Amino acid sequence: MIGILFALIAASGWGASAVFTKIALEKIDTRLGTIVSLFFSTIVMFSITSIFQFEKFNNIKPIHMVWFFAAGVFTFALGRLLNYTGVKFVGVSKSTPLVGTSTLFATILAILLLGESPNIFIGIGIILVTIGIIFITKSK
Amino acid sequence: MEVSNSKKKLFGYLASLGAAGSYGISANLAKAIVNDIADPLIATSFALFFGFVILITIYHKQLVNIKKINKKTFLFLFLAGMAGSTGVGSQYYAMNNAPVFIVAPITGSYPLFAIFFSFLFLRKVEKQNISTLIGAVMIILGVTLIILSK
Repeated sequence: MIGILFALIAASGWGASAVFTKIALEKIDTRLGTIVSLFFSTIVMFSITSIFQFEKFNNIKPIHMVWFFAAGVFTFALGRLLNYTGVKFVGVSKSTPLVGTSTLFATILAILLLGESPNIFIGIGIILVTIGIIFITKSK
Repeated sequence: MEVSNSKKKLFGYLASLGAAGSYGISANLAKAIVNDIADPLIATSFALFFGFVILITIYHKQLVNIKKINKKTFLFLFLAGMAGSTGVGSQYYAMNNAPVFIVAPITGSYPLFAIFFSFLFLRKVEKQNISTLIGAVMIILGVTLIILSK
């Protein structure tokens, strides 16, 4: 039951985040909005990590920074900026489902680069996602 | 004006799909990082820091406009970041407390929550229609099927 509760909090948190973003970006440039949002998120996340996992900072090696940098590029510099751009230009209800297709991209990459095996359910999933994208982009 | 609006729309759709592609790459990176390198909280903290540094380096000229941002906008940017971070943290706890076949469909349905909140709070700004809702449901079903097939 507690797992379901947290899953619902996660889904509603992401949903609310998109709406807050749309309101915030009403009068400012998306790039500046993303920078300010990343500033707040960085401060809060480092504070939370310092409170709960401070001792684990000692385990970090310089080479790990390359991985964190790559994650920063794709998740936040590119991912969040493009996400906010989508929300600003086509709105929450159209942008959010399209951003939600990231699992499809992750799966295709895992198949192409990591050699994971595709199966019939992935095939059906891809077809459903593609039809969903067509419905959203063709809607007025 | 019509052309300009359709270009904006196309740009928005491409940006949204670009974000999905970027998050797709980062999901594979996150898998490798969490498996072999660091805990999710540590990795997320540093990834956020680098994301911030990269954007501020590229778009530093935008900072001139920071004084023009009003308190309301600051508050909503803060809330957006908080709500997103709450989502990530809650998903982590949900995965620890329930099987993936229960958690994945619920967390994957977040676009429906976004559409619902948008209906409640952005009714004046955004028009809702049945095609968008059907498209969102199709995507959620497809994504859930992909997650559960693994």
